[in-house]
Amino acid sequence: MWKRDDVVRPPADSADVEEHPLAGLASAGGSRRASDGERPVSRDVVNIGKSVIIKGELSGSENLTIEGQFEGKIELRDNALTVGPNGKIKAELLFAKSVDILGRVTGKITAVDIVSIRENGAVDGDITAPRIAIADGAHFRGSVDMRRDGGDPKPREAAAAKAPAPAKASAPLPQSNAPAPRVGRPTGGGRQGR
Amino acid sequence: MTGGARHRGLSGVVTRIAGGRSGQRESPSQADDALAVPERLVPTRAIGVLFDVLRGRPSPVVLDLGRVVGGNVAFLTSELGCKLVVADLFADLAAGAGDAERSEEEIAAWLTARVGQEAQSVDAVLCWDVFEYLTVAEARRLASLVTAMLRPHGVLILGFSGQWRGEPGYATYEIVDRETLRRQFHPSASRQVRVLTNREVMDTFRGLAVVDTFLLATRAYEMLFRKPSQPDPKRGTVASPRRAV
Repeated sequence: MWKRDDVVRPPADSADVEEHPLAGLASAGGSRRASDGERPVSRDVVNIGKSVIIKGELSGSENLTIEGQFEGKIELRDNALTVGPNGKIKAELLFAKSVDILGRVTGKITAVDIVSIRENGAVDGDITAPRIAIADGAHFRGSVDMRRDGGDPKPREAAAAKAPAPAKASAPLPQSNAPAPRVGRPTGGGRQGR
Repeated sequence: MTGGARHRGLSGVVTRIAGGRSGQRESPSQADDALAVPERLVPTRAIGVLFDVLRGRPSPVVLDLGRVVGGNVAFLTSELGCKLVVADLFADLAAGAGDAERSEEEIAAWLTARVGQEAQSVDAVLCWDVFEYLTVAEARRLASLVTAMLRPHGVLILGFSGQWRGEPGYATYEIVDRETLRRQFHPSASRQVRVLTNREVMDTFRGLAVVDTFLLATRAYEMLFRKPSQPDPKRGTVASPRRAV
């Protein structure tokens, strides 16, 4: 029977969003539940599927998830890029607000906010970002630079203050069994300076 | 600046017994077992010196020859403001396990591709357990590259177990604090090919001056090298620096 309450029910709550593999992105761009029994769908996330192969330049103002293969240049200045577990990117330049890597990326990565390499993610290339998170089990070969455009390094206090203590708070894990990567200043270590 | 940080030159190599975090030393049998333990805390003396060196330099560059460790990346980049370069030689060693020994040309091409930084462009090199996995020819080539890429007064931290490991795999070391590392053993196809001795290591790095050698409670060795600033005609390379680390 039709009930008025069903119509006015608010969008999916946070618990629903967490179930979605792209929960972190969905929560940033707003999500909705299309109907009962369906997975939540994000309005502002574009998904490039497993079977898609793209070569060239890609830019836009929406969050993007790549599960297929991409070769070329990506620019998402104000948005997040997620490279899914099946995604393979050979990037001349990959520039985004934040980059979350569960698949494989080769090339130069620059992020305005953070670059995260998840447990089975792999990166061969150079990363420039104010915050870097690399999970145990991730593969990385290349350089990590927190300086912007080759300029002075970000002030240490500011970088440490900006980095959240638990990684999960700012970057929810798409895979429930994946360990939380360390972000900014690692926890659990009484590091001492001079 | 600590006493251990003072430069002693090649003739003044000091071997020390560094106790564990709690100050308790382990028996040899415990040390043997330690190599197979997946994760444990191990003492370090060289990291404190590394911190002191890096804090005094603007935008230092650090090269890690081993596998990436998230905690080290976060710490070295955000706390010390370093640019970190990760070579991950273990990935290649695991992939090439069982292959025939590389020729000189192949070794040169491989190592140049992996760690071919510009000459005098690196402030510090982290190298835990890597050389035990390299043949003599590979080790010499790598040592030559590392020596060339270090800046004057740049430091090399080189750790090796000094004994055979039972099972194939490699270890990663996460910096916990100035005196402690978290060692994790990861089973993989890469195999230790030889047991190193102090003398062998010093001979391999003839272009660098030994600052300190530490024999840890785990029976592992930690050696701290520094690149001198002036060529040493006697050694055909460079002279020992006359200043503290």
